[in-house]
Amino acid sequence: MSVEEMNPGDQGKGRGAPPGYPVVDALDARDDLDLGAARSVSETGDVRFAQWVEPEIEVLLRVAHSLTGSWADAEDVVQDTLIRAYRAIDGFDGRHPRAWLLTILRRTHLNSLRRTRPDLVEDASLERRRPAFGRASVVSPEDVLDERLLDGDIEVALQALDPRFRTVVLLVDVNGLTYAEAAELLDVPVGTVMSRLSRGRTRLRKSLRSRRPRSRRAARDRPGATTEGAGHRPGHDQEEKR
Amino acid sequence: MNLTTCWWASRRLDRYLDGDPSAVLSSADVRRVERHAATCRRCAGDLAERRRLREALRDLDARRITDPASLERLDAMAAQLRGPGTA
Ligand SMILES: [Zn+2]
Repeated sequence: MSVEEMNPGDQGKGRGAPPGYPVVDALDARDDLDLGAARSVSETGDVRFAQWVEPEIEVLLRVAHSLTGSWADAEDVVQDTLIRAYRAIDGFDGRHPRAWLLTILRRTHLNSLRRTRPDLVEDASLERRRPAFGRASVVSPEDVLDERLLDGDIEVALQALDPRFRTVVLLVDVNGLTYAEAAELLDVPVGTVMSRLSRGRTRLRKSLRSRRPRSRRAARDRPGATTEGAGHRPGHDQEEKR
Repeated sequence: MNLTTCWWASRRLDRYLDGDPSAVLSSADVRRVERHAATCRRCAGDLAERRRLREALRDLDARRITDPASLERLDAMAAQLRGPGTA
């Protein structure tokens, strides 16, 4: 699934290119990522790396945070991603650097999961997953979101979401990825991103509504800064039926 | 309100707000959504609620500040990878 296939508005750039990013496939082996081995990249590659990859580092870090739930883990994943990207830069044609990097990031993340949580990840996880809701037989990055970052109503509501919905909301609404970029990262079709996004948002609106039933401006306040005192927050059940 | 239009519009509110390149609404659809929301309280309220959620989620991104030291380390690593004097 290439970005071009998913994005009909972007024709013209993608003629004749093979789908997917075969360059990345070559990196799948669990190699040790030492810097020395990367030194065969051309000088043009160095320039491209500076031009295409480095401006994306902050986005990569934020996205990795959405996947791992921790800044330390995010940094590790981005480090490995940068090394892999550097090695592959000579074979990359420069179209959609962010989508290309997100693909590398996903694989890097899965590899690191395989190292640290082998119980959760099977080899099958790198195969194309069928976009069926909640029926994936293997663990994907979005299943392993961290539970630590809770504060404020919206974070609580996010945490209560099905991980599949939550990850898409984090990637698109929080990190600002396009549908196509999120699709690339999660290895699902754009239509799946859209339907997960829609369901996730609907559930969030419902749960935020039930938390702050009458304050019209509440959602704009800082999470946690509700007008209701903590002592007499109404029960959710009765608020649900309004 | 015309229920068919309501249904039609409510299914396009996300795309209307997102304007994502993968799912752009035609300008005719954009006008139709806007005309409908201007006269339908339910859809107007729906739209407003979706906007508030977007803002709250955006806020979250701003609050989740990336560690500047972490970014610095990554930038330095990238520079080291490609070697000096390239960029
Ligand atoms: Zn309506």
